[in-house]
Amino acid sequence: MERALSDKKLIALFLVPGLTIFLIFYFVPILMTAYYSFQEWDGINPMAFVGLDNYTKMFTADKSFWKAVWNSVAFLLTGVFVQLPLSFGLALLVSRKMKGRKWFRNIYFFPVVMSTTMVSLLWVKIYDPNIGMLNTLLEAAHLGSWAQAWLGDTKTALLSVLIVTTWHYVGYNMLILFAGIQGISEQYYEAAKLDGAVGWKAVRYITLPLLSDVLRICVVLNVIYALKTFESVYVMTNGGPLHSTTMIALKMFQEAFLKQNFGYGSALAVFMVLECLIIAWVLNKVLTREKIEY
Amino acid sequence: MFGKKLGVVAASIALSSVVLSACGGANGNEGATQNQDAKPAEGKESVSLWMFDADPMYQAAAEATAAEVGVDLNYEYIQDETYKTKISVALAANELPDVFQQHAGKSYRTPVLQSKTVAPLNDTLDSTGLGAKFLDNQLVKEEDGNIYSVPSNISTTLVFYYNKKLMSDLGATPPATWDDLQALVTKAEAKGIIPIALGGKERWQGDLLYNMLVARQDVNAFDNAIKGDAKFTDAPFVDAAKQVATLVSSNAFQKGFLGSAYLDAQELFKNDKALIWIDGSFNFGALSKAMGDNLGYIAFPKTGVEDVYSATIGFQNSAAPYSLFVNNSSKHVGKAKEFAIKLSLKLNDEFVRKGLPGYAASEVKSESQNEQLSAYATDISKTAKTQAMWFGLLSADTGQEYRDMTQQLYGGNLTPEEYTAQLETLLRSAE
Repeated sequence: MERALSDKKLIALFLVPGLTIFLIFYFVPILMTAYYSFQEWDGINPMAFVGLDNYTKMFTADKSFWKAVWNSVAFLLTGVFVQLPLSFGLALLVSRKMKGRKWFRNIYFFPVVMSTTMVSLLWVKIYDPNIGMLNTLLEAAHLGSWAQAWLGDTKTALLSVLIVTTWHYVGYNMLILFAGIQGISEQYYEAAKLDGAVGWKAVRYITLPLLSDVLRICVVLNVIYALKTFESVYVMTNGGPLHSTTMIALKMFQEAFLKQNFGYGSALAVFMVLECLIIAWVLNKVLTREKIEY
Repeated sequence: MFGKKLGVVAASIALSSVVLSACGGANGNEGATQNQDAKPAEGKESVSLWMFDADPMYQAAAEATAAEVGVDLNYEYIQDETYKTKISVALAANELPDVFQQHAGKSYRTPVLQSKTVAPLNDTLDSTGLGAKFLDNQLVKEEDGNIYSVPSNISTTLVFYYNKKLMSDLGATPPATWDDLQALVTKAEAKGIIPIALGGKERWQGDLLYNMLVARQDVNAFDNAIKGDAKFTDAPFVDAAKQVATLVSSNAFQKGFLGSAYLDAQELFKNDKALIWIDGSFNFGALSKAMGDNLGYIAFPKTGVEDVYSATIGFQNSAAPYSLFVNNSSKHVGKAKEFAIKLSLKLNDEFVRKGLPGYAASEVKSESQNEQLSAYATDISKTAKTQAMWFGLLSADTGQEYRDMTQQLYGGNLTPEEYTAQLETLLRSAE
């Protein structure tokens, strides 16, 4: 067995079937999408080569494209600067040796188990300005002036969707960070305690540095999720009102499957793939640092 | 064929790998499919059928037709919005069922015909003699002289429904003019009743309301403008856009209507929270069942210079009606053709039974109509013109752009003048 594992040719041979499947079902469609992005094509009639026209349209003529880019940035920033700190806070809380911590951990994680469609539909009902729970509660609390047309108003729609995605996925990051915290040896905290580092100081100087690798993974996952957000927006607002919540993935879907612009839809898909790759690469470069050991 | 199919499948995989996991839909049952996978009995041919009409009448008619034709039926109901996506991919990839329903309008019909995946029905219509049963002009003859579809729905039009209980609570009468409508909106709003429920999320209701307001300004405005004899910046279009802006500014629609789904908005009307509901005549049955005598109907008010019987807005046009098509790659194409034609006639019988004007001769007797439906039938018979909804006359791309633009009018992002100027540019360039 050991000899087999040291034989690189044999290992390569075993990798061939998986690699072939990966290339056929993942890499080839991406290449073909790149090819279609230079065509004008409705999916039925013959394609016509249009060069960079689809990309020119994307960057110069399609007003909602830049709105979608901005919305992606909003999702990205919320994921990294709101959701992640919240997750970290919750992970710290459920890491403490207190009664019912398992119960709390499960409660916080529960929304992650629910499908995005289900969560989105649930919140559509909660946000309903006419019969929804949120406005009813606000009115019952004599805060009727705070009641809004949450998903129906361009001023509040994006924020409303962001709140839902944060609520939905906060438990996911919490669980990853919780596992990371559990992996930090207790002796570091005991040694730090002798030096007077307790409470926030212990978090600042022990927990956070030793969690840096886990945090990096969480940041990358959050960013990629933010850039390709589709389901929650599709179900809750369909990109509206007036494109205020549109996303690149949603535009891609609408262009290709509703407007039958497969060429332009493919150009949007290529943009999204490149955007994800570049940002993930930059993040890896920026966040990579020497492993900390005490 | 293989290359194109491979291309579409590959494009769909690549494009949808990121998104399609969520095609579950924006409404409660969006994306839901109801698949009755019947195992074909020995020696019996099977026919698969895709439908987007939720009315149980369709499935019952299909099952009865299958029994009559002697085939096993694989009936699949696919929710309306999901259907539009699914059928466009299936068309391009030639992965169609044996028989399928298609929406009305050029943007939906043209791709079906261009895909060259549907079978001409002339031979079966002639050999069975069933072609003679369809009324004049109900079978669409395409440019090549072939008939590729049979109707799957009767002509449906825009209807102005109102809630009788709320109207009575307000001590008001249904509006006859634009001034009446404005006064009613003000009165309802003052009493905390939603004047008009509108599902803005899907955009089509607002779009059709605008079409209707334009038709009331000038019954031939759209036809003249699209032919180039007039402009979309002319008075009828601007005046109707101003009426939309007035309705929005006077809070005629429910709070957050731009984000409201059609079905959610409909619930407001059915549950006595909204006074007026603008919808299709296809919903008479469902609304009557839900609201009973509480459902009121009037011909759309005289909101412009044109009379109430001058025109209505139709959901389909004679060149692109709601249709049933047969896949020419079907293993049992002969049976599928016979099934589609007989299903169309069976559905016609059901419409006639309900007291609605059918598209084919029928021996079925009409059941008694309720008061509202009979009033509607009378009004429709008096109406001089059915203007096809504009969206149905545009290509898929232009149609979607047009609906986006109209939503901007409703959202206040465009003034009536800006909106009509952009309309002129969009529809003129698409001409």
